[in-house]
Amino acid sequence: MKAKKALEKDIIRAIKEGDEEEVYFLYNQYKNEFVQWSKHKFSIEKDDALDIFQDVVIAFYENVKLGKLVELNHTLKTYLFAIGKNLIRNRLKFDGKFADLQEGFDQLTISDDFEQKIFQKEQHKFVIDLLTKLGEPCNAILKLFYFDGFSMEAIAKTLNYKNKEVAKTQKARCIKALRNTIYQRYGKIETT
Amino acid sequence: MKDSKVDFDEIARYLRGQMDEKDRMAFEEKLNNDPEFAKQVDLDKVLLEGMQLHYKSSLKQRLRDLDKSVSLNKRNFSLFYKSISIAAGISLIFVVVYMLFLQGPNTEKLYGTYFKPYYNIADGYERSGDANTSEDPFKLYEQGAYKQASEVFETLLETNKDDYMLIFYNGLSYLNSGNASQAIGHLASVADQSELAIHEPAIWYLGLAYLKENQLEEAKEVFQNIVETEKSYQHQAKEILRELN
Repeated sequence: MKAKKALEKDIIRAIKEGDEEEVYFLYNQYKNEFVQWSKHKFSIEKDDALDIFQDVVIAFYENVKLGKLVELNHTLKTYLFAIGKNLIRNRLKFDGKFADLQEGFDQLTISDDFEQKIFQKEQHKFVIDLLTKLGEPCNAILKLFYFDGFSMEAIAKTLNYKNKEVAKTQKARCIKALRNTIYQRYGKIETT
Repeated sequence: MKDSKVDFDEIARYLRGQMDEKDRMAFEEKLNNDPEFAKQVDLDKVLLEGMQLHYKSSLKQRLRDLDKSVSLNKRNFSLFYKSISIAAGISLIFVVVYMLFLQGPNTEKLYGTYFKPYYNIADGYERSGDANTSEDPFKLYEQGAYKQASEVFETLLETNKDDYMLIFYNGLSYLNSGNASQAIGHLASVADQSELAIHEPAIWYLGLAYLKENQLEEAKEVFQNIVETEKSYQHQAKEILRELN
């Protein structure tokens, strides 16, 4: 048990310091159990369960990387399955809501909140399109810094930059270009 | 908006709740009194969230791909298991001769670029012998406890010396723990068994083990073979050969 705890601690540390490889191991380690558990408990089909479990390990990865999760109070499995349970509930709730809307169409009113959400979604899509078209080195630098949480030193090393200052300058250029495009589209603000 | 004065990372720190109390208060004060600044924070929030969504969806795609490749390997694996029962009793000794110790300046880097731990495809694999005696080495391998995994594999191999799945993952465990010279013998004996599903990854990792050990002639021969016979990993092998030549 002690050894297991130590291993789980190692996983958090490995994810904190490392890259996505750890997530692959984590995913493979628990996915079959999760599929069985969600079928037994919530009658979720295998493909849906896998889809949900992918979101679970991604959420775990994000929480560790963003420093929201430093230590586990329960076992890793309990933690992952708890996230899974929430995601399953949300999904079931959403499906339920959707069914309601289909039945009583006159209940559907478009609120400000709803409009705001649509607009936000459109903005996100715009940014995602920009990022999809983004070439290297920007794509790699931004992913390593903002998603994988690497330090600029580590990024400079990984991407073969002379030093962290050079990498930093490159990153700033990438962000500036993205910011400008977004401002042109939504902000009407000129940047220099 | 003279945006060059406002650092994106500072805004990101605020949005991610990573600012300390004092900075946060100052930040919020500016946010409340400067509409231009507030607008910029809004748009940077869109950028930051967009990045998170984008990189999350790429990670999700890679997990999906992983599922695909594992199920593919599992199919091959059942074939492999049939063939191993037919081939039971046949044992092969592969002698590795260390002849050339050529120094290449970039082999470490090349190895680092191309080496990724191989996934555990032995899910549900029932090993021969007594299951009660030790921890599951495949689990240990999956958890990245490679040294412990090797120890258990070695013990199991004493009584099941022809079990290529054990030999393969033992070789990988050695390679993962940095012991490439030990890995070579194990991987070579699996690489020799062309009827096995794990034959192709075994050859690839054998090449990487030679690379790590700086045995460049052997490494080249292995990668050349991968390219010529158009096996899996041929693109990576081609890249490595180009770098080595």
